[in-house]
This record gives sequence, structure tokens and C-alpha cells, in this order.
Amino acid sequence: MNNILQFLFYILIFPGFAFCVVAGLLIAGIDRKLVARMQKRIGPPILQPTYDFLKLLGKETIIPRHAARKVYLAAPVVGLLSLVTVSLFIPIFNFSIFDKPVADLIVIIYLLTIPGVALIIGGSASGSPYAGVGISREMVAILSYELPLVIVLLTIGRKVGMALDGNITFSLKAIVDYQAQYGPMIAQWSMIPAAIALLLVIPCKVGSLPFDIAEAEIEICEGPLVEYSGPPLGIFKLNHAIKMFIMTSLFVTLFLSGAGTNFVALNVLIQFALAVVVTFISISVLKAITARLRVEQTFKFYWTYPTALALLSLVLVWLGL
Amino acid sequence: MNRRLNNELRNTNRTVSSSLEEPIHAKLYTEGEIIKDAEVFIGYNHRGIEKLATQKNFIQTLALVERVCGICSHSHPFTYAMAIENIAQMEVPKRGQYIRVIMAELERLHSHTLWLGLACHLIGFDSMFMHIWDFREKIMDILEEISGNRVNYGMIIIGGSRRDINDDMRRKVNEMLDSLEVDIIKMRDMLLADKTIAMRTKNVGVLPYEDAIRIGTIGPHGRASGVNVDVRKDAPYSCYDEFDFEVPVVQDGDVFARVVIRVLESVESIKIIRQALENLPEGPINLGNKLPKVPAGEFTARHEAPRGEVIYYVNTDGGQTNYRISIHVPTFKTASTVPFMLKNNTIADAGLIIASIDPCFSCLDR
Repeated sequence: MNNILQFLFYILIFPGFAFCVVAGLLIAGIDRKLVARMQKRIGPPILQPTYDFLKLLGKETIIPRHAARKVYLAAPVVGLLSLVTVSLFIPIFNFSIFDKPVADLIVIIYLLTIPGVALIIGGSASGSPYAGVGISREMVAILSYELPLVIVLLTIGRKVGMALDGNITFSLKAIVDYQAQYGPMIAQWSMIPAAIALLLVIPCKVGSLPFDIAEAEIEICEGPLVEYSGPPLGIFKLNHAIKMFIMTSLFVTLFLSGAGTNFVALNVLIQFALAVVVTFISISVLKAITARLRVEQTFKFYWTYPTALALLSLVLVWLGL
Repeated sequence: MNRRLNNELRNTNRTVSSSLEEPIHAKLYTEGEIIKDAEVFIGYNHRGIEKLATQKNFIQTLALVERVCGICSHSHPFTYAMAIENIAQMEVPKRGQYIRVIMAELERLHSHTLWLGLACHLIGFDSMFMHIWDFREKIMDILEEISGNRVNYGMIIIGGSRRDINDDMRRKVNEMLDSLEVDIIKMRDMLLADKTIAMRTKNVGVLPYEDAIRIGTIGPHGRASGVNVDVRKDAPYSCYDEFDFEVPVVQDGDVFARVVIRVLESVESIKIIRQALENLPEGPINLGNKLPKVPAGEFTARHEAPRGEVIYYVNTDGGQTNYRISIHVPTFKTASTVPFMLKNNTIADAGLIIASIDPCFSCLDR
């Protein structure tokens, strides 16, 4: 009984649903404020994404006549659930919901693809030509960033695995324990290219400039989201915000983790603060200094620079550096 | 989505309407992301200004044509006044002409910076957009300092200018120009050096010289394709022959060339304004504000507006109203090139390409 209650707490409150929503909306608000300041604007209040989300929840849902109704409504929820599930897997310093090492890195790779796939399914269910263009772009985006992302995770797994048993590990807990013992991963020079590669993957993963090709509002009216309204649109926006937090938090866990303190609440605050820093570097600054790339330029970019950086790290790690 | 569009979806490969926030309907026939063909539909903003002008007297028409367009709201009354002055054979005082030119060039400056900001917004470069529009406020301040207005300046009267530029104002405007020039030079260096802007605009929406000549495009859009036409140089009017300035011409014909042209023209405009302010002749600014007596006659006046050549054909019958006025605006000529430029580009660039002609649909549909 106690166990079930504890798991319900994990899933619904922390580190699951409620925590994700609060952290995601906050980080989205902070990002908007930071970008605004860099653009000589005052910017919206930090809570603006929260207000937007709450407002959308109270709006009418209009379903296009040609839409596949069930799929259309289910897509955003599927995306949200997968993100909440990912959040359960990510350890925050010494806090993890698992006691033993499990192969959760592989699960995360799969689960992180689902929000993108949900966007594709929802867009194609809406039956709009703009969505048609948007989903084909989203597919190319997924193809582009998956490769460097997987290589980065592989590199980290190998690095930690070599220290443990000379093999490769896919456990985030093992990675965090390793960092608690040897210091943050970023301090090892052979991992720096991989860290840069992951920093470059984050903007495409969360769909922010210069890689927001799938939802380019100016070009294709937000693509897959063009027909969405009301709560489903709100949930998609929420997904977007949570994805920002999850990706930056994953970066913190993979590269900036350490022993942490004995207080979970303090650890969470440190994790969040570091996630804000990562957001600033990889999302806000990039958003402020670049123009939107075209889809083929995005593809070319990801299969050259981030992939090369990640491979460099992998080779270095394999050589035992 | 209405039924007609759905039928078209079935019949053709796929049609997408460009998502530009202007009353133009560009229907794109696409294969994946590539535009195979395009059609442009115009005329959504018709207000019957030419007909209305036949019922107004010459002073009222000035106020009317000023409202043809919000951005080039000086070019229209300027050209109309030139036509009436020619029919009535009025000699416009030099000082009035200089003030007209100063306003025309300030208008070119604010129009070009407006477009450069919008172009940055269209390729998703919102920071540049914000910065450009930030210093564009300085131009608006100068316009307000001189005319008292930000949009419809009301500076033109038949036979001269309505407001004078006194010495105090001249000094102030000169100071503002100094800080503006720094900003424009900075903008020029940033726009021409930025890598993502080049990635998004080079070899996009190319209009070769031959096509540009064949379709008959004009203005900065034509000059970006190597068509060296500029009424200010080719057929100097008002007092443009008294200033020393260049007409930049670029051969590439892509969107980047259009950015370059407008940046270079902004620099030239500042040069003209400085000369005009420095050599501002003494004397009256107009011939009085009474309703002029205009004999029967006709005249075609031309002026290089920010978007290209604007032509006013005015026909009078000796009465107090226009018998007929006909307005030819540059956007009509430049908009005809859009389907040619769109072909074989991607949907991602469609909005940018349509916007690259610096369209003004309120002029176009008047």
C-alpha cells in the first residue's frame, strides 16, 4: 500500500507531473524574459506561459471537419505523458526513484522521440496543408538531431562504464554516482565536445530558433499546430515548455551533476538553477543571435558539426582518455 | 477550408497559401517543400480613391492621395502636386522644393529600415528586427520634429511646402542624423556580415536581369537585378539635379541583393538630406495657400518613391476638381515578378520572397 502511494507521489507530484509543469512553465517564462532583454524589449512577465496555458484550458476546442477526431485529441496527451515519464527517469543529484542501476538511458532515447512523433500524428490528423508541410519538416528534424544525441549518450555510457567494469553502462544512476565520485563530467576534457554537441541538439529538440522549422509561424503558420485550439493547443504548448526543462535538466544530470547536498529540496533548486543556465546558453542566446534555418540546412548542420563533435568525444573516450 | 480549395487540393499536387500578413493571395503549387508554380491574386483592398478624387478640389485631393498609402504618404501628394503645378505652370520656390526632397528622403529612410526589419523578422531573426526598428524611431522623431506627424505628414501644398524648417530645427535634425548615421553604418555591417542572414537570403528568389527587363520591374527591386533605373537620376525632377548622390545597382537579383540595395540606398539618402539641409535656400516656402486656378490640361508626373517609380496622370477641365487622375504604383510592377521568383524555391522562403519586393498593397489596390 505504502509502495503504491509512494509511486503515485512520484508520478503525480515529484519528479513527475506537477513538478514538470511548474518547472517547465517557469523555465519557458524565464527564457522569454531573457530573449526579450537581449532584443531591447521589456518582455512578458515570467508567469506569462502559465497564464497562456490557463487561458487556453478555458477556451473552446474546435475540431476541423476533416480531422481524425480521436487521434487529433489524443496526440497532445500522449506527448505530455511520455515527457512526464522521462522526468521520472532523470535523477536529480543523489535522488533517483530507482535503487539499482537500470538501463534507463535507452528508455529515455525512445521516450524523448514521442513528443515529436505526437506532433507529427496530431498534425497529420488535422488535415491541413500547413500541417502537412510541418510534419514533413518535423520528421527531418528528428532524423537530424537523433544521431548526435544517441552518440553523446553512448559516449557518456562508455565513459562511466569503463570506470565501473570496463564495459558500457546505460544507467543514469550509475552516471550520477560516477559524477558524485569523480566530479562533474564536464570537467573531463574529453567530454567537452560531447557537451557542446548536446547543447546544440537541445534547441532543435525543443523546437526553438534557429531550428524551429516545424512550427515556423511566419512560413507555415506554426505547421502542425495550425488547426489546434483550446486545451489541446494548451497541452502542446505545455509539452513544449516541459521539453525545455527536461532537456536542460538531462544535460545537467549528464554533465554538471555531482555529490550534491543532503537535502532533496536544495538539490532540486540547484538542478533548476543549472537548468536555467543551460537554457540561457543553448536556447535563449542562440534564439537571440540567429535567423531560422531552412530544413535542409538544419539537416546538413546536425549531420556535420554536432555529429563530428560527438564522434570526437566517443573516439577519445574509447581510447581511454 | 472551403470546398473550392479542397477541390484544388485534390486536382493539383498540393496548394498552400503563403502565410504573409498582407492582403495578397499567393497560391503555391508545391511538391513537398518545393514550389512548382505560383499564382498571385491582388485587389482585396480596393477603396475607389481614383474615382473619389474626381469629386474633390485640388487641396482636398492632396489630403486624399496622402492616404493612399501609410508608408509612402509623402510620395503620393508630392507627385500629385507636381502634376498640378505643371498644368498650372506654377514656379515652386526653391526652399519649398528642398523641404519636399528632405521629406521624401526621410520617407525613403524610414520605409527601407521598416522593410529591413520586416525581412529579418520573416527569416526568424527577431533580434535584428527589434534593433532596426529601435533606431528607426530616430527617423520617426526627425519626421515628427519637422512635420509634427509620424505617418501622414501633411507637408505638401500646391506650390510648395506647408511647414518651414527653421535654423533651430536644422541644428536638431543634423544632430539626430549624426547618431542615425552611426546606427545605419552599424546595421549595414551587421546585415552584410551575418552568416545566418546570408544562408537564408543568398540565391533565394532569384530574378535574373533578362526576366527583370522583360517583366518590367522597377525601383530598388529592379536595381537589385541590375536594372539601372531611378527617376531621380534619369529624369531629375524638383531639385534632385542639385544633389550629389549615387544610385547603387547590384547584379545578383536574389533576396540578399535586395537587402544590400536598401541598405546602400539608406546611406545615400542620408547624404542627400545632409546636402539639402546645408544648402537650404532662403526665400518663401510656398505660393500661398489659396485654392489654385488650374486651366484645362493634363500632365504625367513621376517620382522615385521608396518602392520605385510612382506615376500620377492628372487631367483637369478648367474647373475646381480633377477630371481624372490615374495612379500608377511601383508595387504593381514588382508584384508581377513574384510568380517567377517563387518557382523552384521552398515554402520556407515563399513569405520572404513575396515580401522581398517590399509590397505595399494599400498603394497597389488604392
